[in-house]
Amino acid sequence: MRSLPIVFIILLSLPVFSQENERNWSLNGYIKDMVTISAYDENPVLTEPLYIDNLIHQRFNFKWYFNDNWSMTAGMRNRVFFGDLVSAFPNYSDLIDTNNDYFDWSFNLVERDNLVINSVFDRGYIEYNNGTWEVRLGRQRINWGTTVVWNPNDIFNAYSFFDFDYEERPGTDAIRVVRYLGVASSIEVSTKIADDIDEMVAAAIWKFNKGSYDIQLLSGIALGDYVIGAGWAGNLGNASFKGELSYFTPYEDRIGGENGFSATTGIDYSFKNGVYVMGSYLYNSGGVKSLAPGQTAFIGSTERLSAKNLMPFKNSVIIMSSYPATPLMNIGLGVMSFPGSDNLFINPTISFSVTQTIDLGIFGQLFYGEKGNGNYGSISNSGFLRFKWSF
Amino acid sequence: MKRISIFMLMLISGFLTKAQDATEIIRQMDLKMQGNSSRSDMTMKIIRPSWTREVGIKGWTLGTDYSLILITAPARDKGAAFLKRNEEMWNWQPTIDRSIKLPPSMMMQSWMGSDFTNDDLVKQSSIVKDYSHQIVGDTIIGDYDCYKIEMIPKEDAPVVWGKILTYVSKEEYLQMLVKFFDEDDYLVNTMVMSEIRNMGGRTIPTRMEVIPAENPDQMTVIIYKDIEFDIGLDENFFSIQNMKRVK
Repeated sequence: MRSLPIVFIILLSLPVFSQENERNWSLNGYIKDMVTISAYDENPVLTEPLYIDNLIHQRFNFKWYFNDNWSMTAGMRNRVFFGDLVSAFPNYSDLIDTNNDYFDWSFNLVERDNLVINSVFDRGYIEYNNGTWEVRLGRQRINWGTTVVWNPNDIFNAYSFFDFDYEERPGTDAIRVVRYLGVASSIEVSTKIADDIDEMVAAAIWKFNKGSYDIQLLSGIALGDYVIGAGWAGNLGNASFKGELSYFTPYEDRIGGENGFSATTGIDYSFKNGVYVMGSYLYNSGGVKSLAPGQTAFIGSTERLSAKNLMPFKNSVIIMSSYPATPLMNIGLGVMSFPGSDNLFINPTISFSVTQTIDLGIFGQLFYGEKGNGNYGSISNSGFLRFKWSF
Repeated sequence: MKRISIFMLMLISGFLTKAQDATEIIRQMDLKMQGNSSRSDMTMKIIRPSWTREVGIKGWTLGTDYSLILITAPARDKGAAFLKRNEEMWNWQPTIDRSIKLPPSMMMQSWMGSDFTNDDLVKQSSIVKDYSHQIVGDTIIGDYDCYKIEMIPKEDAPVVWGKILTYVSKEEYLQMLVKFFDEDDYLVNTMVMSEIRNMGGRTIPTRMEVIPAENPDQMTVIIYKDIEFDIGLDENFFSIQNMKRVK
């Protein structure tokens, strides 16, 4: 444990006692409870017919404005895991207490066979912003992506599309300096702190607006590679047209490294009646045409997820659509396929606004492909029921 | 012949004057509600027979080309912001630290399930420039003597309506009632203004109700809590970096 963020705990408790005319802080967040029911076929480890798990997930977002220019932000997530999958994996607590960052701000408070409680600060930074210059120091999200599903330009803190329950997405320990050049243009230099150069990310990005397009160009080093990239977001008629490209090449002295090209493009359109459709394609030069039998597309357990390696496949395509069946209920369906492979991922979603502050969600993640026994069928099926109270 | 010509001329010029009057009335009315620049704090209530939802909004405008909207409630959406500069639109999502470019097709969608569209809120079109106006009658609404003005969208105007009837008070140019018709001349929405009071140094209606003709038992209400006019904003205020900073 490199450093205990006691300072944030103190800061979190401070404003409660301060009585000022104009509130110079904000505290919000949510409490979620999610039940997961999952079934696996022909899985060597998960042999039971059904696994039922529960996750209680609480989040704080705290912001404190010292004055017009200086502010401090902290984000904390507390999670309580219990259920069959927790018991099935002897090292479940280690899987939860992962840390890709320089500072270890993740703590397992309870580690039992069937119960794990984890607290993590995934945001914690100080910011100076005068409208022209923005400087941030600490754990923050450096979001360079432009497209909806996959982000090859997101070299600092790549996230998995499958990790839908983590809306805030991971942060990174970094120093970021942004100089705004106009209303829609900026130059930014950011560095992720690391002991080892292979863990470091340091890059610059130039964002500008041309015609009706936002365009960005980036260059730097990322996890052992030199990287250059470009991205755009604009309109094709009334639809939105976005894309990102990144090319990675290892440092000369690095053994076993491979060049990588990661590229995506996507179109989305909203109809007048509220129907939203989106299609996106991802190319990963380091990906495989098809997976080994029984394997799923969920990166993270064996390989590291990064902007260079967002999906295990060489080609991934997703079509998504959603529709507000009533103003309070939204129904969606996403289908992902992988040209050159029989695998298929199906992602139905229903979200329902119960009250002003309570939302209910039902989600499915169904993964099909060749099973361990050679037959085609479902490899992994999960259903999620989520209750969320926001404050 | 001469007499007829003069009569025609008088008639035409009469029409012209009247048409100009109508445009001038709409311009005065628009100026009253918009000013050159403005800052407002409002609540939007979406009312349905079995439920209601409230959205808190802070808005900044400069003419019709620039606007910035910050969501202040509900808790789930707090801090999200929308920026419009001419034809372009962006959305700021503070939870993931990302600004998202929005396509034009997003404009005509109902806004957060309300009876307003994005266009109603960020005002892509101008009621002065994008329509031709004509006084078609008089009427009394509440205590106010009003002009009834027909507004027909000009060709190529970025407008979804076929026709708009606006009722404007004769004395103070207050917009009192608006009826929106589609291209087949069917009534789509009725907007009723009320609670006229002094706010931001002007007498204005501070409550607007939009009632869809198809579902008369539902409505969306906007209540102004505070508004300031001519606060000296320039177009640089309406930037991506400011979308992240406004409070």
